[in-house]
Amino acid sequence: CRSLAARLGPVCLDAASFSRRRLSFGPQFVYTPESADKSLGETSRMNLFQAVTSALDNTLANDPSAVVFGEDVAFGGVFRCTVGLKDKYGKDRVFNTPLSEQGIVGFAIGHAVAGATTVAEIQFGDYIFPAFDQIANEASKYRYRSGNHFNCGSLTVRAPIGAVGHGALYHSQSPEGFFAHLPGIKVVIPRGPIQAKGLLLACINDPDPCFYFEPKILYRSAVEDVPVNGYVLPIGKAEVLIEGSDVTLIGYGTQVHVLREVARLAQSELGVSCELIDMRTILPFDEETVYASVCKTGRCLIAHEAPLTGGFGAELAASVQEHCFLNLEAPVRRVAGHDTPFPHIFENFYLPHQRRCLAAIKDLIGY
Amino acid sequence: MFAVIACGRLVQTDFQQVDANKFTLTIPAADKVNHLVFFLTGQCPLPDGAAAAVYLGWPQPPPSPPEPVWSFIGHLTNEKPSAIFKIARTRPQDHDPNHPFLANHFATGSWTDLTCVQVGISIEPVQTVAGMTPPAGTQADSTPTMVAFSQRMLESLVNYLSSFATTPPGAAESYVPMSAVTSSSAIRANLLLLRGGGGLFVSSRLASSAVLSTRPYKLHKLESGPASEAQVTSDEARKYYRDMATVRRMETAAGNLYKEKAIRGFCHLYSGQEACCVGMEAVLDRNDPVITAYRAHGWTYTRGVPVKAVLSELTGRASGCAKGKGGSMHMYNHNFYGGNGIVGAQVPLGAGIAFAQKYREDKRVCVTLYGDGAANQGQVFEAFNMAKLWDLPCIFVCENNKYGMGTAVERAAASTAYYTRGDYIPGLWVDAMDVITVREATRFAKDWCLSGKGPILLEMETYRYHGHSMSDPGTSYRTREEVQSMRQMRDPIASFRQTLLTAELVAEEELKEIDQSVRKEVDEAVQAAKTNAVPDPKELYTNVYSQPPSGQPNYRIRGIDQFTWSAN
Repeated sequence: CRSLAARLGPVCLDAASFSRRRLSFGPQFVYTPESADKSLGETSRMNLFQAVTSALDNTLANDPSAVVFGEDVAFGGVFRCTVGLKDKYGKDRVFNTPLSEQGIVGFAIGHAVAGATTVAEIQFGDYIFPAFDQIANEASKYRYRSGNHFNCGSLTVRAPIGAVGHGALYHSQSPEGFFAHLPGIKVVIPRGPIQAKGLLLACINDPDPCFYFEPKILYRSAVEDVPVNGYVLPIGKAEVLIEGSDVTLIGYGTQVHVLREVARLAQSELGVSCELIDMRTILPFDEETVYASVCKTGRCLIAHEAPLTGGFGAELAASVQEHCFLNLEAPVRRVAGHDTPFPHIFENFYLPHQRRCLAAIKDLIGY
Repeated sequence: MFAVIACGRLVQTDFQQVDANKFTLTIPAADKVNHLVFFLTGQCPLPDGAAAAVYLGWPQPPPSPPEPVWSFIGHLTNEKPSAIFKIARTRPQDHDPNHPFLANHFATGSWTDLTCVQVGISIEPVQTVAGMTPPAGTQADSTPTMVAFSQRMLESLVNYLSSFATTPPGAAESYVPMSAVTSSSAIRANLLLLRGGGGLFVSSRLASSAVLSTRPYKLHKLESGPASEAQVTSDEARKYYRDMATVRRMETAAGNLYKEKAIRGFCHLYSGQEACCVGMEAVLDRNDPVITAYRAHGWTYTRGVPVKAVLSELTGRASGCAKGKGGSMHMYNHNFYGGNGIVGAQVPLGAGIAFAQKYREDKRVCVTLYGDGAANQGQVFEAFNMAKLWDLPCIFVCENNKYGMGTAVERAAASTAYYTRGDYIPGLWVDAMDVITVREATRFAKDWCLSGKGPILLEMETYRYHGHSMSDPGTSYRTREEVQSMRQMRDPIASFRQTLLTAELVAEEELKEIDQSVRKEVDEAVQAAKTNAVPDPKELYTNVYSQPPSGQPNYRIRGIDQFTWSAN
């Protein structure tokens, strides 16, 4: 496997060479498997979609009120996240809905308000927008507007998001920025199978409505030994994956793995020690961990696939500068998708790939 | 051991052995079949001294019992392993009570279908078979000897040419112009005669137009429906055939390009649904706007985008109709508003376009297409309400191909009568596997809208042969047999071809030439799509807004960096 630097090479934008070289598409990273806490017991080799299935299996087994529904979930789902569940738990608990996102989410909110554990699937995050009114105006405000009389906390909505290499405009979007703007809901994005199962179970058990976005490119490419029993990981808590002293790298979902390589390259090419943080929860985000890290390193780079303006990185950057101002050695940098619709062509130039992040680190160090 | 071919269809070898020496097979839609070819496949020869007697069993219409009326039509032997039989005249007027197959009962569902015919083959001693005589009119003429052949050729040539004879003013006798003699159509017409196989084509000239019947419609809140017959000229027939054949070939080419990974991402093929776009375009003109969903390649072509531009858009080349920036689901042209990825989102847009037409008093209709899956989207009903409230000239068209991705319509919709789901909007159900049926329905709908009666809803019941997209094999939620039987029995192109040949509107040679020229066009387009230039890198960030904000001459799209704009 060629080294990353050789693979990307000098990023050459000459269109003719582009068509000759057939650059590989999509986020470029190598997935680093992690291992689960031994105390969680027996494990089984699972990729990310199997980890999701396992979490849903645990939920349906232990919670008689739990139902799972969405478009095409009965046969297993277009990403195979619900394979076998209908056969095991019956078609009145695992069922298909018609093609109506607003209807699906509205229906799910109602079901959750009535007290049932509801896991609704939106087939692609790009399709969630017809349901945005239900999420913004119903789900997020239920508890507040009823003075805690009612709530739809037993609702979890799952959707795949993110670049996949060939998704183009409507199968690659990262909508977490829109949801970060809604007080009352929680937004969670896992980086791998062990994280996925624990965070999904946490969302399902969480007393507030949760929006769980799965990076679709990791469904197959991320494989780990995942505990077969149920376990939860904390919502609202970021995780420091690599400790470092010079620059804090912040990301979530797929971008965490890109940043892992960036950290490695920064060390080997620039001699810079990076600290890597996976946010895991977008809303409410873990301020403590982030500020502690940036106050230590003094430099902060935030990277996400979603477009730059108004992306979640903007919130992080504003908060970091507010709380760590006197410790900052350089302005907070964000490397993000361009302010354009997610493109059909030149996807690998659009994404915040290693070279763009490394260039930003050079700017931070040399400020 | 045996095989049978009906004209224009795939060979059938699915004989069932019902007795020690008897085999049967069902031929569907045999009312359209004139000839059957039987042959020994050569897998194992007939036993010595035996012949295979071939019987046809036509079902009888009720109130007669459903047993077939069998008649002997001929035989095969090892020495004569193949034969052609004309079957058009073997239908239930003949009745032979003494044949081997009456003793068997065939409990197949095909007996309710009077257009199916059962074929029976019974292996019997040669002597028995030799004594049986088939009914008149079942034997195809055997190949004439050279003398007879030449005689017929000359006779038909004289016949043909004399039809061009004219008497110039002042002349004593008639003359035939040299152009009639030297034109290739003269030769073609003669070849057509000789290959007619015994008088099937009686005339020496093809018809210039014919009256074809349309398939039945279903009406919702309409007093009357479209015409049951339509005049079709041979030019129109050629055009429809050519357009459908081009769409079919183009989609096949797109599928192959996808498998070669020259196309990536999402690719939704239209194969099987060609009659819908071609039939509708026959009545629309380029000033009637059209908007559809993501299964858009067929519509893109009929809206005037050449095959080359469609395929180049799929491969992301600069020569694509959206400069390579849209891909499969976002193809556009004048008065063709795409190509839309989000299911159902195009329907309110269509209502809005129709409003613009009405506002400008344009006397145009807007055709807004959506699928059976989208029919359950809330925004579709919002669009219906606005269209009816404001009498918009909008033809809503539900292309019902029976499956929303992998979900059959019965499992997604409380009411699958999509043509009635406009409720207060009148609706028409159309058998959209026949291009003329679609055409007349569209004519009716366009007249309806333009006479100020407001919107109308057409349900085009059609079928897609491929899966939902190239990532879906299309066989996990429906049987291969279902797909095969649609291809064999209801293919829009094959059945239109048959209709044209039977009505003598277009010669078979011409159809072949059309097929060849379509193939050539698509092959060239595939080459271009694979080799044309990719877009300029700055297309990554152009066309976000109409132009950069004023007062910022050095404006750059946010988020990009020196990697992206160093090319400038």
